[in-house]
Amino acid sequence: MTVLRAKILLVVVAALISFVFLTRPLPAPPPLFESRLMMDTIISITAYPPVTKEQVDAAFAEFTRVESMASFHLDGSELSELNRNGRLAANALLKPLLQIAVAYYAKTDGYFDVSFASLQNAYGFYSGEGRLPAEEELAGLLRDRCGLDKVLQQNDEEFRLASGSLLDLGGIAGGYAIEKAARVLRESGCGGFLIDDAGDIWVDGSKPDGSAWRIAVRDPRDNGTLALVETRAPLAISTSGDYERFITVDGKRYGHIMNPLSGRPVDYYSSVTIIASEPVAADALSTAVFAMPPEIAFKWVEDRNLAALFLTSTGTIHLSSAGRQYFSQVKTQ
Amino acid sequence: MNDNVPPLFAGKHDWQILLALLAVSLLAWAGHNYSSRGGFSGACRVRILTEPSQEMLFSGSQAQPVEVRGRTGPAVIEWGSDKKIRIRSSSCPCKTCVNMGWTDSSSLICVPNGIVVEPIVDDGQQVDAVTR
Repeated sequence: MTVLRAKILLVVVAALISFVFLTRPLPAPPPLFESRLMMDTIISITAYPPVTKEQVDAAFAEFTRVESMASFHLDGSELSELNRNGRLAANALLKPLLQIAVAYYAKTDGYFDVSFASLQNAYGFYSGEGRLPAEEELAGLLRDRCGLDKVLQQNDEEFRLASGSLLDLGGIAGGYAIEKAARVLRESGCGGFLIDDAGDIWVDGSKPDGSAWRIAVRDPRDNGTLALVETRAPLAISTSGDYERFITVDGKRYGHIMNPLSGRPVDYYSSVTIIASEPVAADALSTAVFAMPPEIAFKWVEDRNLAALFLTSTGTIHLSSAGRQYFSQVKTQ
Repeated sequence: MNDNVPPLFAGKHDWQILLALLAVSLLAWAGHNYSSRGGFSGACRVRILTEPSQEMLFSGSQAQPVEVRGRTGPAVIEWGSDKKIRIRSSSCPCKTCVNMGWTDSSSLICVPNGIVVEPIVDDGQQVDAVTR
């Protein structure tokens, strides 16, 4: 080997070694991560630089603000005032949330109905002492106290709620709070963030290393992963299930989502996951679709081009056409 | 052209050396990217959402269950022989966390007790969140 060849070989070796070490992925700056107990659940925010602790605090404050007006359980909330007195000033802070509830009641043909709180109350979901109401009781509740278009009226001065009716905004309040918190982080210049409200998730912006956000859909049968969602675009993902909020009567479990026709808890699915462009939409639509029988739900999501993943109570997995571009590594059974 | 300049890498051994270097470099590169992917070893992070919040790491190598204290009282975290973890008992009223059973991927969450048990999966497939 000549001296020239040896020198060139040395340069090549140095180049290859440099390649190995220079192409190592640089560790991304760590995100700010914080979880808090709020709105009767655990809220987590993961926020990547540039972001400050104060900005994350401000985002959490939006959850506090929404909880203080929309909580079913806080006596001082505007929702409690409406449930207690049957009336609330039309300019209340709760107004936008009530209007969203009315809009999704109409959009979902009544399957998303915040007045089902009257039914849930009769089943003992709020007291924790489960019971099965009789047919006559259910019929009376459905006739007089459920159906948001019937029981909630608004004029220029106030909202009026039918006597004995109850509203529970838990099906959209979380999504609404996520939207408010996301706006705070976005306007503060946060590079990328994820807000997780008990599994209702919003991702926005990007991670410093450019990698995609990875969201797993929990398989309630084994706590494994039913499917994966990878995205670099902002999106909301929400799952409704029958496995975290239920009552047990005579050894049988009953979930909290009701059939609007029978007033009985539905048991068509173990979980329904919806992807949408807004947290409130994902939140409300996952609840509404969960309440629909499969023969209605599968067509309903197709007609609206919704990305949906169903795990039926018999273990069958169904993916909507639009869902194929979002959900990957979907279990086959 | 000057015929006295020797051709570069004309020798048979030069090419062999270069190919060997290339192979070693590729192996090293692959090693850097994949060497840390070891799957779930039973390690978990336990967050207790009290004021102030607490965070504990467990390696998963301990055979004995551990007791942590949440907002409503004690909860016991247990490791199975297959390294899966569960909340064996909790002082919460609803026991939803206990009913979630064993896991090696999804978090176990006890809202009333303010306890979150997150499996640490070191396989390069860590997810940012779980919808449930």
